[in-house]
Amino acid sequence: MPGKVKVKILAGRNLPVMDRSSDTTDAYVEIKLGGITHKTDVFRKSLNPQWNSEWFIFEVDDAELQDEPLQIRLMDYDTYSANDAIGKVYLDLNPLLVTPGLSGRGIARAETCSVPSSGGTVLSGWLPVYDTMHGMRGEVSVIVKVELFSDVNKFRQSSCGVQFFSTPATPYGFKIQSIQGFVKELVVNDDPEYQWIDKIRTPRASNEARQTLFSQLSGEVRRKIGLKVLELGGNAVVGYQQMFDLEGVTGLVVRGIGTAVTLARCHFDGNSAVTWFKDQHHGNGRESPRCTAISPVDVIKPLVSSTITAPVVVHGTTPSRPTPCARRSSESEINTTPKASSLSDSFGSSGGGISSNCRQTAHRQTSVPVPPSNTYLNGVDVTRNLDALEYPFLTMKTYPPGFIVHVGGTVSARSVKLLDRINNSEEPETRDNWWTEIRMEVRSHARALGCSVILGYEEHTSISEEVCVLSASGTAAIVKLQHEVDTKDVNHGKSNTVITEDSKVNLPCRVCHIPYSKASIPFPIKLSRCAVCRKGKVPDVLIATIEPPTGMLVSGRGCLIQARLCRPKRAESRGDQQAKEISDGLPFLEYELHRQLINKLRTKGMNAIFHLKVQVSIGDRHVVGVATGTALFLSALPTPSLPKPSNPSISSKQSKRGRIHKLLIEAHAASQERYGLNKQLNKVNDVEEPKWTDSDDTDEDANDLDLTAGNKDSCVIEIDDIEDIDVIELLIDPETPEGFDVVNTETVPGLPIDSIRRRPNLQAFNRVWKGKIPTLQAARHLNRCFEMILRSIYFKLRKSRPCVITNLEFSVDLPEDDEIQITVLGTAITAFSKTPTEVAPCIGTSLRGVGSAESEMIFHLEDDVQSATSNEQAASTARVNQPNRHIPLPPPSNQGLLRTPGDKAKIFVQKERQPVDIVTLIHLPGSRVERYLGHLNFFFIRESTSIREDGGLSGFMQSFITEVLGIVRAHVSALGGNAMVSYFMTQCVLLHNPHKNQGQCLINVGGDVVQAARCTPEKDV
Amino acid sequence: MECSVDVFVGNTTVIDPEIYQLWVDGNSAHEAADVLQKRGILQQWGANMDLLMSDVLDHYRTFHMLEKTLHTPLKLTATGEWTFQIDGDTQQLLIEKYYELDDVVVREVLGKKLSSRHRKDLDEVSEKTAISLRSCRRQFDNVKRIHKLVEELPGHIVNNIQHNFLLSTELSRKYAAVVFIAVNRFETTKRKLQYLNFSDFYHCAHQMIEHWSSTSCHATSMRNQSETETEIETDLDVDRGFLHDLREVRILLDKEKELKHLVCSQLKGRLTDKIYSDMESSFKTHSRSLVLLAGNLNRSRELRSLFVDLVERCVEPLRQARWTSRDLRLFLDYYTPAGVQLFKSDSATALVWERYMKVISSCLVKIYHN
Repeated sequence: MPGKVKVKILAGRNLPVMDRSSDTTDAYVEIKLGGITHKTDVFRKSLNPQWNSEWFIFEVDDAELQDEPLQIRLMDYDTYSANDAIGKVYLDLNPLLVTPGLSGRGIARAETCSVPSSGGTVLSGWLPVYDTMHGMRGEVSVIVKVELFSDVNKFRQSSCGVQFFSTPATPYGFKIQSIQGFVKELVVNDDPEYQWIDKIRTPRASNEARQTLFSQLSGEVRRKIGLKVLELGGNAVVGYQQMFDLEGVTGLVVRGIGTAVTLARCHFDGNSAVTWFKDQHHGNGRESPRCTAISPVDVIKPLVSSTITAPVVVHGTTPSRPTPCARRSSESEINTTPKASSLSDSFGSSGGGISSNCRQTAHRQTSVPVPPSNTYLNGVDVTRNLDALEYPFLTMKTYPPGFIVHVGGTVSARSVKLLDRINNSEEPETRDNWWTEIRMEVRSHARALGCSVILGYEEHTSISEEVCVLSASGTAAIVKLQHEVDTKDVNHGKSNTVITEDSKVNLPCRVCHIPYSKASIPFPIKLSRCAVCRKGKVPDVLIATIEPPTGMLVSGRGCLIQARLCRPKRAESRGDQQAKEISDGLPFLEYELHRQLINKLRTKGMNAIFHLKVQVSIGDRHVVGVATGTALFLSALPTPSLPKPSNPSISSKQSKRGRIHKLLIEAHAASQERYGLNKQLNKVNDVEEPKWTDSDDTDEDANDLDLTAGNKDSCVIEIDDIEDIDVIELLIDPETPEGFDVVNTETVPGLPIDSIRRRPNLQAFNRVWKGKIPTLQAARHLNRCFEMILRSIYFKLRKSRPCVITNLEFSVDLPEDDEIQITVLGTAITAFSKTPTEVAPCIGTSLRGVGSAESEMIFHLEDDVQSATSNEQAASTARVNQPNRHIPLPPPSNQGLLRTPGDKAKIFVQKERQPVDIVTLIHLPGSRVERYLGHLNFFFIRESTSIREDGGLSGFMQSFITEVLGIVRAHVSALGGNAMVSYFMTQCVLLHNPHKNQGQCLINVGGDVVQAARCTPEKDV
Repeated sequence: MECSVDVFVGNTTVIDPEIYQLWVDGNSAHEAADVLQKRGILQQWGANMDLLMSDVLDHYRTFHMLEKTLHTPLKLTATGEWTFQIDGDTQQLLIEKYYELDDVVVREVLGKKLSSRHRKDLDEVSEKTAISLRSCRRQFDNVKRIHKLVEELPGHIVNNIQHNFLLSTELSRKYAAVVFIAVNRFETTKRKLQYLNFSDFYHCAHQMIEHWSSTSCHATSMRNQSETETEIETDLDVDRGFLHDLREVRILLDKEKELKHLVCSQLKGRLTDKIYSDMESSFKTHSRSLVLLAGNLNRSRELRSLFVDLVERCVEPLRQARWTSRDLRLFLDYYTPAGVQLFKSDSATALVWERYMKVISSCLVKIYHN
């Protein structure tokens, strides 16, 4: 069934000069959708043409509507030679296909969809014209309307009406009526850049072919996922993640994963916890049961990477056994993963053309003790059991209060694959199978932890040449499934644990309690009595990939924690050899990462990590692992003890050890002070110590007892050589400067939410750094790179203190031999209402003896004192009138600072336009999201053959990212929004050819367009 | 640390006013970092030179990108311009600072043709004024850009500049003066004029814009109106009709005795004896030069050399006679009405005389210094 797209081209402005002789341009516009093209008249000799065209009408299939972008191409008419392209606008029509009402199913949707006037279905505004070779080239003013006729045909190919959110949480203003579960789709195609035709066409044509293809594939993946959602009876996808795997010659893979849900508008504020699962229909066509597809002999590197962990102890005398704690449990009764045995694995190629490196692992899903499923909800049709879901994965990171019953821990799986030619792009089975395997793996890990659901699920790849590392991770948990109507049917404690009686619905510490029984523990860990309720059992460290659940008891404040590791790789190995090498090295890498993370955590005096993201990147010469999370102190968990250095073998290094110990103690104390952890020092530590009978662990226990009096969960760091000392020095992060709070979660745990000022300045930032890693001391260097990058961010934001940097996300690429590219994304929230007395002295002292900058700084001082009052006044005045959004000082003094002496030009300041805020967060601090206007996903390629003239690679990148953000803002505004939440940048691939003075960069950005209203002061107070 | 890419891009463009000022002043990134270092920024924020350099470079790249837009400030502030997200106050700051003028530099540029040939000579200007070459070039280019745009625009020049370049009134007036002097091709570079600074010319130019231009309120005569109807009115041109009418004041040459009598009787006792006697003795010369100047102004060559004539024929002789500027002001205060009195039969010429002397008096007093 068709939809009708109406396009009107009004005008252009600031177009480039295309005709040198007359210094003007004869511009016209081609509008293309699918196979149909319309053209406007030529507007002669103007850089600001006024076409004011008629309405161009496209009647297209709605599947095409979803897949194809509307392409608006500006051309320069030339009588004698070929017309030149000025640039293009790609318009994703998907936001126009969803009505803002989101009524969802069948008939209701038909009603709303056919009313084009309902606001969200019109796009109008000035959109930047973009050219891959020249960047931004003026703007074009367009109006686009979509009229959609509903299609209730059972066999339809389209899924208009399913709304996508990259927001990994319940969107504001909605409630989740039901969760249908995990949805995924994968599409493969040839990459135009690697096709034969690329040899003969211009770079521009090639780039545009790619941009168009990416746009189409992105639409296709969404359409197909949408279809699945409709099949499942949902109406939206939340936590939608879309990834492009640029495999190079073997093609291009677009993957989408998300959580299908049924959303309903709610007009009250409270989040409804009323959710229930609906099982997936196993039988339906494309959802063929994957379980059978797993061949036992295929590449899988199984590892319950960082779960609830036992203390990390390296036995100095047995360096040959750096087994991850999780692995050590192989001896235990529960068969988590086939462990130590699998390290000495076999290597071989499985037949059938897929030559991949394998470590033979027996899939143990059969032996996993399936938790007794006592989740019976009333209504036979609705829910059977979570376990019945093929993939009990949820991609959301934040959940309604009460939803999570227990958090088990982080589960992850990685797999090394050798890329091969995708022969039949219609049947992307190989790639599908790869992911199926890894998902099964993750699922079984979760089951081993006694958990039925995986929250905060993510998938990633890293590709180097023909080797590809697939990773999947999530947080195993037990959730409460509650029927929407019958809220009394509380199914808490659906776990098979002995602590069921403790898990009262509103016990805030319940989330931390272990979900498995003490008897059937999958691997040795230390358990202790919950410090809050004294009943439940808690692990000594909790690591999760989700946001800290609301209502969790946190002492002090949270902070960023990061472990970084770099392992060298033999560059000459290729193919199988290389894959094997990587595969063999991965467990060590992960183990080291984990150890570093845990030790850092202890040094900080904290006991939990949330929003953990582990990224493994492979390059030609190195494998880099970076684990980033937010450390915090959970009141329920026992106080961690400081790691102790020890070197029993060499006593001569006594002094050195002492020095290191002292360093650690100092760092520990500083952290306690900094993050307000002192409070619980007074707390009586009467935690019951569970005794471990596992023979494997005895010596380690003994060690602990020797080293620390009182605390049993101490950890020991061996110092055998200089390397080890380096390692310890790496444990001590340089302090975050005063006035900054840095986390990678949504908010700073422990920092009260109302301390955000009413009118905070929001600043999403992209930081890209690319440099060399020396072959020697690569790990050390890597560490320094990260430190430098963090410090440079603080330095950049120095004038906006106090400042909170949230949602910090790092991604590492190793594009060339010895090059590393680190991309950082985050949101800085400035102007927090700390009491002036707190801030003023600290800035005051730092001022002393500063010199000429003083005069300027005096403003800051006054400012901080005044800010409390002045802001109140300012805030109450108007919400549109926000003068200083990016210079993060409060307005009154700011003007004093900025104004040039004798400036009387205020009258000429134009009426302020409404800025477009972009944040990586799911919420807009200081504002309330009113409406979601659609999900945007852009793919841009920029190429230049004059890199040097553009100000070097940095100049090229900076202008490119600036332009990309500009285009994003323009599209947000054209859709009627004023902000973008859940902003992401999943790809940033930069290629450089210095000899040709040429460079190319490819960026994938996007997020959810919203319309937000500033919170009124009353509401905030 | 060695790196090939090192950028920070925020959703709202980050502008550091301090670094911006350094950029506008023509410092290179390294120079700017050095200056900041000397100001103690490193100790203040606990940073090292690498961080500072990276930050400064980042800002410089932003400024470089912004520069193109700053050439047409209206584009920067247009609604729907999304490349840079900058709030109104900061936009104003960016524009105002970018168009900032140094009087010493403008003085050098004044009266020269704004051609690329002169742009090359700016290194001499830079040497002479101790302002960096980059800053000189920026100012030169800004003057040229504004000159090119407003030259042809009708209406009030200050308003035109303000509307098109969004500058403050003060700064717009500066540019207006420069453009006015350039359009009318006033001679300002003669050696004798070297002692005059920009503020002198600024003052004189605005006196002329206010009182002598075609749009000024004095333009009342019928002939004038019929003339200006045909061409677009702008206050960049000196009122031709007025200059034509000025020829009539030559009558004063014939009434010199009466004039002298009127003036001397008024000034007696108000000036010191020495000056009074000088005035009395050389009244003829002083008066003649002022009247002749008026009579000849309708020749464009004479108009162009107005400043030279004023200095040569009025300022220098008076200075030799050791007049103080107070003496000069007193003299002019009585000289003008005396002339008016003598034109009593011809009120039109009296008005013309007054209009002429208003500007000349004001200018003379202003430029009468060492």
